[in-house]
Amino acid sequence: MTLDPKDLAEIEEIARDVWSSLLGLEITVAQAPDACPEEVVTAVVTVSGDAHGVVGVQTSGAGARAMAAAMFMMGADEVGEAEVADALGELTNVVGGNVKGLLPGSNRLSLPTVLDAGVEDPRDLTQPPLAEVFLICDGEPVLIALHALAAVPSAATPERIPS
Amino acid sequence: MHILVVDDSRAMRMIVIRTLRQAGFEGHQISEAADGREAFEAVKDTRPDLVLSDWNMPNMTGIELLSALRRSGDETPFGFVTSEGSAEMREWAERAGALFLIAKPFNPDTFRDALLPVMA
Repeated sequence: MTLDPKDLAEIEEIARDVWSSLLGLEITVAQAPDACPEEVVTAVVTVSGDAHGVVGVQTSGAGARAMAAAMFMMGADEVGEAEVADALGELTNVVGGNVKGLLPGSNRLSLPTVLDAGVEDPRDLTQPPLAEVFLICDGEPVLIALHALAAVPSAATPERIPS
Repeated sequence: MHILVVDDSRAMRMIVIRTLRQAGFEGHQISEAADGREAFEAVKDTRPDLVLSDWNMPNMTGIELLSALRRSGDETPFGFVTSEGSAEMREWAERAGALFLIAKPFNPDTFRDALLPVMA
């Protein structure tokens, strides 16, 4: 799975559109932060088909609460875990659906999964990301990343028997 | 007019309903369903005039909902509001009988363009 360098600019544009229309918030491109926030919330969607990868959106706990508050039109201190998971999951779903449009071939998108803070991503994200965009929204960091995953072997492919 | 909004995200259902109002479609009866299965029952029970449905949902997807409705002889006008707006998805939606596909993110103008012909 490959991604053209111009697609990075497309991902930035997708983020601006999504944050503006769904949240009414401005999001801007930023440098990678020096340190990871203490509390991190991550949501992922899987793309599978001709391409096989994961699109993830990660932000700080405060960032996730601010985004949920904007989406539900509530105060940041009023949103609970359910609102945060719903909002970040849906943002990731929309970002993932649009990023999927940049990938070649025919692909399907999974439902979003929100990963609990402190729980390791169960997916194999050991490969360097194909694309990584650092952004900032209302002073909080947001990372959008696309990781390639190893293709799942098809049932028709015989396993190699070690000699 | 009675519009059924179907999405597994409560946040997105709120945004769709808010955008309907911003697009000028006020004063309509709006009801909600959280997945295709719930929506199928709601269509049979409440006979909405229009279904606005997400595509990717647990239990029953939007395209499965549309196919199930048409198989059962139900011709309720149906449009998608989904995060995937590729040519392939649009063609699939049209073949299944959808009137339009609104890709997320959207704005009130997108809603007006898609819905005005249906609601006229």
